Amino acid sequence: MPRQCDKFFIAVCHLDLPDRIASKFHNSYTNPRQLFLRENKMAETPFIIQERQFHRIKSVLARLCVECAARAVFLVDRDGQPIAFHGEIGDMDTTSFSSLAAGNVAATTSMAQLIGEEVFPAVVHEGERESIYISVIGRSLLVVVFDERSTLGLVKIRTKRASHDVATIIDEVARESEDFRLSQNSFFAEITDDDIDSLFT
Amino acid sequence: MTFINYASREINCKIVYYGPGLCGKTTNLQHIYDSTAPQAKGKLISLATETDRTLFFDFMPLELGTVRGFKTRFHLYTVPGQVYYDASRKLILKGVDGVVFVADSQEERMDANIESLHNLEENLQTQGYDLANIPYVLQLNKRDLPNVIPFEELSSELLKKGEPVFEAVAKDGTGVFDTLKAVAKQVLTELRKG
Repeated sequence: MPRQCDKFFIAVCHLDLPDRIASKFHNSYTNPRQLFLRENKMAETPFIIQERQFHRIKSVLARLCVECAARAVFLVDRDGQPIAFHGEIGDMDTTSFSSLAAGNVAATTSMAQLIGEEVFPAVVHEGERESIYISVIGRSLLVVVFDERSTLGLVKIRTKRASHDVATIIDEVARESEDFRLSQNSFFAEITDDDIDSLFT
Repeated sequence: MTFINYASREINCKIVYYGPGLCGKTTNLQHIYDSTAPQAKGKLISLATETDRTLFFDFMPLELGTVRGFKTRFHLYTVPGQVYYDASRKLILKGVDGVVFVADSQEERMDANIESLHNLEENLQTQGYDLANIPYVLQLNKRDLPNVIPFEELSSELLKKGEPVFEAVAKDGTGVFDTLKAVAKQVLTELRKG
């Protein structure tokens, strides 16, 4: 599970990790230096998810939902944007839910750092009937909503496995976002002032 | 950080309303919420104290329409304005695409405006942003009160980069949508420019 700590990453960024160590990190969500650099670069780059990547994420969430016997599973960007979800959503306000999950993790991450922890990689909220398990995967959050049909232990184990798949896809999205944006630049460039003005009429 | 989903044909952007305590950030959002058709908005979430001071953030999603087949959705956030909530303000600014600074036009709040604006610049820098380079609009709120600083004087004190400035009375909606439109246009124009 990737961890995040500004001081740690600043320190790591100033080290020259030998290849034999760097090669152990197979994607940037477990490579602390790359994660830190990506987090800062991503302040500017739009996050562009293509159809095939979206369907892969949906597939992972669907499988996780079944394996956990969960009510619903969400993938949420840490800035609060919902990425995808699967399960018994009903009339749940998924946008607000995603925003609050992100706010929740943002607050608890800051609390963790105040007590000397890098991050709380998982947050659990247990209710009388429904519970929520949130795990932090780099830039995103995997949120599992479950009830008496499942158990916390099962959710933890299955989520850990799915986290790796999610991390791989998100890492690919992050890497390809810039290239995809440049290749689609003509699409964005075609947006006219009238197109934008028409939104406000 | 703009979020574009090609599968669901959505463009999602984040706008944060910033400013000193009790300047009218939440009032702006409340008016937008009350005035927007149900199909174009989600819930207004307010994480507030018992005395209705914003504790963590207010949030509402707003759908503006489609551009070239893409639904454009804006996620509007406010930050808590009181000085000691700085840690929370830093968190809410993460991933921001556009900022509205809501200033309290009253004379006695001038120092608070300046301090909050300085705080905004610092917190943006912490997140890797530069106020000079992001969509930004200045709103001078509470223009209906008797003890307000004249428009020219207040603008010159608070203007940072020639950004659009709007006079507002958020409690009755004056200037609220003009402000929102201005920042939303800037965000979409930035996206178009790439």
